[in-house]
Amino acid sequence: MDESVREAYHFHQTDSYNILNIFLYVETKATTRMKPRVLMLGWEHPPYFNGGLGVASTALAESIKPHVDLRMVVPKSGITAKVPAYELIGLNALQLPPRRITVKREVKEQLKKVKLHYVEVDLQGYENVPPQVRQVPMGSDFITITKVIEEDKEVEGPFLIDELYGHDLYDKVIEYTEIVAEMAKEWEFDIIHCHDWMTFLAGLELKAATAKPLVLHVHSLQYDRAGPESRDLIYQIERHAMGQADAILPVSHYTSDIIQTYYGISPEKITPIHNGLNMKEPYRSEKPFPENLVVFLGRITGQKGPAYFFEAAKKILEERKDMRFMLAGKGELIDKLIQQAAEEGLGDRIHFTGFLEPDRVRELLAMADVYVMPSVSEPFGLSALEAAHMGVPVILSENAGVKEVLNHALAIEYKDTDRLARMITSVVDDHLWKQRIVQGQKADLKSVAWSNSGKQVVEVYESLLS
Amino acid sequence: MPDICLYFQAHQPHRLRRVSPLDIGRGQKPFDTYLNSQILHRVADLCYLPMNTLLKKLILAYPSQFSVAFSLSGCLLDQLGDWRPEVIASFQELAATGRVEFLGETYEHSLSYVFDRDEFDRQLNAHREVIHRLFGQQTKVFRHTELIYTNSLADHIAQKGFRGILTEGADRLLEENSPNRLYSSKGLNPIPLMLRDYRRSDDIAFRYNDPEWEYSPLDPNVFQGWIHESEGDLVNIFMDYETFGEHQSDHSDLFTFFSQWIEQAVVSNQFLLPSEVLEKHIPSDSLDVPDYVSWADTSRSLQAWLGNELQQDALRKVISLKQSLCRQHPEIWRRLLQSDHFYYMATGEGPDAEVHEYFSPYKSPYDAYLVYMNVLSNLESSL
Repeated sequence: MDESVREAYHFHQTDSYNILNIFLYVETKATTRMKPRVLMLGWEHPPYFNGGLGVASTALAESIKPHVDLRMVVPKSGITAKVPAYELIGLNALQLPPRRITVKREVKEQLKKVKLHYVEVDLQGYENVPPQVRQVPMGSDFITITKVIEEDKEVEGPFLIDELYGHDLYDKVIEYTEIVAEMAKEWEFDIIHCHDWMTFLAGLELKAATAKPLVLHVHSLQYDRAGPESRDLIYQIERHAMGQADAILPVSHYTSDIIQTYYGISPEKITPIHNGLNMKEPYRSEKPFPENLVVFLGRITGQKGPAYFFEAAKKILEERKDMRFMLAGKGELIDKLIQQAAEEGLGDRIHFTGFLEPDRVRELLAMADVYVMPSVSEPFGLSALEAAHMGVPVILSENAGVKEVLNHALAIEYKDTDRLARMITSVVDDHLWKQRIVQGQKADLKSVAWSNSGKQVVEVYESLLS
Repeated sequence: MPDICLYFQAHQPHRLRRVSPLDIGRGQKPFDTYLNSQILHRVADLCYLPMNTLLKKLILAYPSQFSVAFSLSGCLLDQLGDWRPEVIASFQELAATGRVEFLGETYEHSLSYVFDRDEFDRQLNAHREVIHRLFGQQTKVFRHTELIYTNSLADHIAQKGFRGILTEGADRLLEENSPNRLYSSKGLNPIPLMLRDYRRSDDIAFRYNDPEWEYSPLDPNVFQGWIHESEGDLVNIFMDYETFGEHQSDHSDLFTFFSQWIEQAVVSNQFLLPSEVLEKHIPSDSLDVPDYVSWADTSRSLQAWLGNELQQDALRKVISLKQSLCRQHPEIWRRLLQSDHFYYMATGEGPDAEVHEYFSPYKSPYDAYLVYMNVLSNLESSL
């Protein structure tokens, strides 16, 4: 029996008159002492987020809040509709003391083109040089080049970060690490909980300074983003930090396997914890067009496999025209895919919506006939849960963590675009099958909740502190 | 002293509304009326009205020496009729001086000659009618959108009764020859061919206040000196009318420059209307132009509109809708043929890309393509 409870029990026997007060006293005392104080380090927080990381770390923070004292530090916070239940510190909103940082600046420079002088030369074997080769191109006498200049400078005041994942990401990560390490000297906490590599260095600094247990939440790895061959700086940071960590919480068993296989981390300290789902009431709506609608949702980047979606779309559109394909999201491959759509003459059937606000995503899912997630490597895949919740049959890559939750979704080898094409058309044409998938997915979702994920996280804290 | 022929192109496209793919089939209007009216109001106030006033003043001051030609696209006239009819009235006042000539072009400022001769003829006739109706002139000299030209075009418009045609004095046509003479087209029905002097034209249109240019801001004396030095007997200065007050940021200077230059030039040079050029000058040589030439970009070809897959796919798609869309909504379909939509989709880098970007209301050529295709899909699904 816990000592405080025993104490209360004792009072109860000797002084029944005052029992209510004493119980209240004991409860406050017990919770104050037992609630672990968690310092959580994140990189994305609404309204500034890029993808699953921002959604998941925020939802998780909310779900563990009842059980812990939580302070969360992010590079950038802003005004949101909902005030978080935990203490949120956005470094962009603080007057920070002076510090040295490296800044890169792009400088445009105009260079005068070199004047060309033409000399008559007798070139043997080149008799057929066409006359236009000798023409001087028209246009400006100048060319503009862009140089990047690196400068060390002292700054003070707020941490300024324009894009969360800009070209200066490394520099921003270092600056974040230094600021957090400095600020945390004033704080008391029992656990350090980091979300993804951008915050791992700060976590390591704090662990070194305080010897408090370090928990690393893994939403995505360099393995996923850059491929299995990647051994770059980010991979090194991930590997080193996971080696030092006391507990690692990947979002799936799929990611847990990668952490063991590609990062050589021993399984004892890994606890996979699936993401939950926060969604408003699902609804379905009529499409404004008669064609079947197939949806890809996510960043238009190699990892997410938009090119495989495109390939499958192309194969289907060769056979039939009663289909529309929409890619919702932005990313560096978008122009290339638009170009390909034009080359194939499919620009009227393969559409790009750009980034969509959450309500527009729901509108899209409410009309969708099939949702496809052909990721090359997907640690979890929250949007597949959203699609399932909105009643859309889901086709997943075999390499997606969410498959462990969504048992009734269909799965394919992401490269097998023939099979993907066949699967899409079968689902569209076979209404009964489509309904069965949708119903099965709804059943799968019953066990999915952020409160469950939060509970598991708190259990890990408890085991580290006992 | 060479004669001078001044011609200004005035045109505004119907820019498209951004339709989300999610809304395909919900029947949104294809054109961004708000944006188009905003731009039209701005250009009317900064360029058309003040420049028309200035030109009228110069014509009244030098009625026998000064003259100016315009080509006004049908799509501009439509928009002026909708939002700024007083601009049309001010062009009518200019027409009434007798020293202004209006040229023939395609009503929708389109590339139609390149892909559809029937459509080209229809647009050419529609434009002839609107010019006659508004300004009481029968167009005699033709210019295709952005001075697009090839041998067969001259033949074609000669059959339609035009007496002369304009194009770009591109280096690759002229090789060592000067643009400052009247040429004739090569073909079955040769007609006189007037070539733009791109150096003198671009001195005003592009370089006038370019900080990198050693002569900037251009001095009227210096410019007139260059005109004097021109070899040949005819200097054709052709440019966008919107150069004045709109394309060039510091507009007051350019107006002053222009009127000072005219005041000097009329002392020694005669300004001729294009149809007067055809009467006074005799074509020296015929110019063989088997491939398309235009005044756009450094390539001076069709590259600016049809150079990449985005443009080609968009054009293919709109042509494929001729039977269906054109039958139900002929005006919408024609407006979708405006060359500007394709111009915005041009990819590339360097000075050309900067010019494309200046004109484009979209984030990128890819964005322009998506906007165009979404509008088409939206219209198609409403048929």
